Amino acid sequence: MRTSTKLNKFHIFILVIAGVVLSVGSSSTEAKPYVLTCEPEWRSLVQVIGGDRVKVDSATTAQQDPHFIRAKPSLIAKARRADLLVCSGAGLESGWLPLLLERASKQIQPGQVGYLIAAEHVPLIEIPELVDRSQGDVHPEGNPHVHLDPANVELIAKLVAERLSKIDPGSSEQYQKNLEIFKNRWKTSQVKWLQLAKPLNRKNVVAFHKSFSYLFRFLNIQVIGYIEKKPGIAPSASHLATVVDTVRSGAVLGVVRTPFDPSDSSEWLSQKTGKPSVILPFTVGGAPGVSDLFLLYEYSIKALLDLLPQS
Amino acid sequence: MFYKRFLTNTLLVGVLGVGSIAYADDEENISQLRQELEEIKAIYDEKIRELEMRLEAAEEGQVARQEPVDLGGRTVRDNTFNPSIGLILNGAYREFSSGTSEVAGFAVGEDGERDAGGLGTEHTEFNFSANVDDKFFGSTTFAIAEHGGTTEVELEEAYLSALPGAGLPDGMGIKFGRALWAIGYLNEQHAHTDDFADRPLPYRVFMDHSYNDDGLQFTQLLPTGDLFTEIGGGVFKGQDFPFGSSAGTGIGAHSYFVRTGGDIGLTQTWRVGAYRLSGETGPSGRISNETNLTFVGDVDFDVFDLRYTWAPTGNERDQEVTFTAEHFSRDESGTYADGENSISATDYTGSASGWYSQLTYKFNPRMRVGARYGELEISAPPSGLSGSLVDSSGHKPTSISLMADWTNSEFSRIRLQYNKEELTAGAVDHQWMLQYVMSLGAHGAHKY
Repeated sequence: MRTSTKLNKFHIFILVIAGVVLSVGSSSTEAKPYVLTCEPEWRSLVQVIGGDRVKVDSATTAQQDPHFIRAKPSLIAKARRADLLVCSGAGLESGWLPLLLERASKQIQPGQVGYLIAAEHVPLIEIPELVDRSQGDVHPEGNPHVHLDPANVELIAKLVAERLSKIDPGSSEQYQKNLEIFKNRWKTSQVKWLQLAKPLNRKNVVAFHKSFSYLFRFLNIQVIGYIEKKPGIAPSASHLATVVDTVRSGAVLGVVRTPFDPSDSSEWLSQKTGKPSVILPFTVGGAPGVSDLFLLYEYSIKALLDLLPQS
Repeated sequence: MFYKRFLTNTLLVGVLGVGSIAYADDEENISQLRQELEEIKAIYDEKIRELEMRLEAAEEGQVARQEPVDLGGRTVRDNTFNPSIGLILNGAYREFSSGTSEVAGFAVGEDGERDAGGLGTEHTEFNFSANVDDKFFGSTTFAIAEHGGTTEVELEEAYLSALPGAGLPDGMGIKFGRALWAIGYLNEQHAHTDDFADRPLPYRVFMDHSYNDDGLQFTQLLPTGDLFTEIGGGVFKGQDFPFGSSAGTGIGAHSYFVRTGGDIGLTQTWRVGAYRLSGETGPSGRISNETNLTFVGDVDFDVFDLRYTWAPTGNERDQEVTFTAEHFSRDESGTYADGENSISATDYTGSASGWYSQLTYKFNPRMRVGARYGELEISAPPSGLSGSLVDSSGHKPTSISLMADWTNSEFSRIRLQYNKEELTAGAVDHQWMLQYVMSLGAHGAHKY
C-alpha cells in the first residue's frame, strides 16, 4: 500500500536519528560545572580560575570574528546545558547570543548567577554620541573588546570566581585560591608590560577596526586612522586613499589588525606606504604560542615593539 | 602598596647599575641619566596611579556609567519599554518572457505562482517584538504587499512564546499563535533572508510560499552533548495551504518533526530534519487557481531537509559555501472539483512530490553567487479527472535559477537573478529579476 511504504521511509529516518542520539547522548553525564564562553579570552580566564574543577568551551575561536558568527545547532546544544555563560557583551554577540539564550538553560538567563557579561561590570570607552546605522554597525553601549585592558580582566576574574563558587560551593576554596594566585601574577605582569612597552609611549598606529582600543589606551598608543571607514562596512577605495595620506603625513609605526580581519587592505596600505603591517593576536590562540592571557599581552607588546624603526 | 615597593626596588637597582658605569664619565652624562630616570619614574608613577585608581573604582563597583544626556524640559522614559521595531523594505523589477505561469498539474493560482512582473514594492514588512513580562515573549510581523493590483495587509506572524522564566523544563519551548512553523528548512525563515529573489518551486505549489497557520507548537531540545537534537510537534487550525477553509472548530491539522545537527571541525556545520504535517481541509475545501479548483479531503505532507555550510576561515562573513536541499511529498485523498473544465466533485487519490537544492558561494564579504534547481511531479489523476487542472499529462515542471548579489552591510542587499522555468509542457519562461532588501531598525538575529 502507498501510505505504508511512505510511513516506513519516515519512520526509518526517525529510527536512525534516535540511534545517533542514544549513542552520543549516553556519554554526556558530568558533575563538573559546564561553562560556555562567547570568546576564547574568557575561556582562558575560566580555565585559570576553575582549573580542573570545571569544563569550559568557547563559542568562537581566535580566528573567528565574534561579531559575525551564527547561532549554529552545536552552540544551541551547548547553551542548553551550560551552568555559566561568560561573554564580552555591549552588543558584540547580538547577532547570535539572543538565539542561544532563547533555548538555553534557566541558570544562564539574564539576571541569574550563571549570566556574566563583562561589559556590564567594567567601564566602557568609546561610547558613541550619535547612534545611527549610517555610522556603520556601531555599538551604542561602547567598545565591547574589554579584555584588552588588564584592569578589566582582573575584575572579571574576581566575578568568575564568585559565580563559580555559588554554582559549585564544594570547590569554592579552590576557586578563591586560584584567583589569588592569578591576581598576584597579573599585577606583577602589568608593571613588567608597562616597562617593556615604554618605547611605544605616545607612538601612532593605523588599525583595521577598533579592536585594540583598550590595549592602546593601556600602553598610551594613539590610533590616528582606521582602514574600515565605518565599523562593519568594508573600506572603499576613496577612504583607503585618505588613510594613505594619514600614514604618510604622520609618524606612524605601522598597520595593525586582528587574525580575522581581511589581509588585503592592510597589506596594500603597508606596501603603498612602506610601513610594516602586523597581526596582533587579539585573543588567546590568536598567534602561535599565545596560550593564555599573560602571553597574549606579552606577545602583543613585543609585536608592537618590532614595528619600531631599527636604529 | 605592592607597586610602589616593586618600583622602588627596580629603580634602586637601576640607579646603582647606571651609577657604577657612569662613575668614569663626566658629570654632564650623570645628570642627563638622572633626568631620564626621573622621566621614566614620572611616567610609571602616573600609569600606576591611574591603574590603581581604576582597580579601586572597579573593585568598589563604582563603574563609570554614561549619565543620560539632559535635553532640557520633559524627560521621556516611557519608550524604554517600547518593543524592538524592525522594518524590511523589499522591492523588485521582474521581467518574464512568457505570459502565463500555470504549473501543470498543480493549479495553485496566482498566489503560488511567480510574483508580479514589472516594478514593484513587493513586501514591506514590519516587525515588533519584546518580552511581555518574565514569562512570555511576543512578536508580530505583518507585511503590506501588492497582489494583483490591490494592496493587502498580511499577518505573517503573531505569536507568543514561553521564556525560560516561565518554569518549563530545560530545553522545552512553546509557541502559540500564528508563526512560520517548523515544516522544512525554509519555512521558518522570513522571505527577506532567502538567498534567491523568489521561493523555490516546491514551496510555491505545496505551501503557497510558507505555512503559517494558526496553532500551537512545542519543541524539546534533547540532552545529547554537543549534538543538537530537537523533537517537536504542533496542532493547527488547518486553514492555510495545503489545507483550507477549516471547519471553524477543532483541530484541522497536526505536525511532528525531529532534527539533528552539529559541526564537522571548526568550519563546517550541518543539520538534517524530517517533518510530517497531516490534516484535512474542512467541508468547503481548499480553493485555488482563482476559485476554479476545489479540493476537499485529507492531506499528508512529508518534508526532509538538509542544510550544510562551510566557511573556509571560520568566518562566514568573509567566505562561505552553503548548500540546502529539501524533498517534499504530498498524499491527498478526497475529491477535486474543476470549475474551469466543468468537472464536478470527483473522487481523487494521488500523490505529488518535489524537491529543490541550492548552492551559494560567497567569495568576498560583499559578493555572492548562487544556483538552484527545483522539480515537481504529480501522479496521473483517476480517469474522472483526466484533462482537468490536476492532470499534468506527464509533464514535470522544472525551474533553474542563477543569482548574484551584493551586500553593502548586514542591513542592505541588492540581487540580480535569472530563472528558466518550464512549468507547462513546451512553455519556457525566461525571467530576469532585480531585487533590493533593506533592513531598518532593530534586526533580530537570523536562525542557522
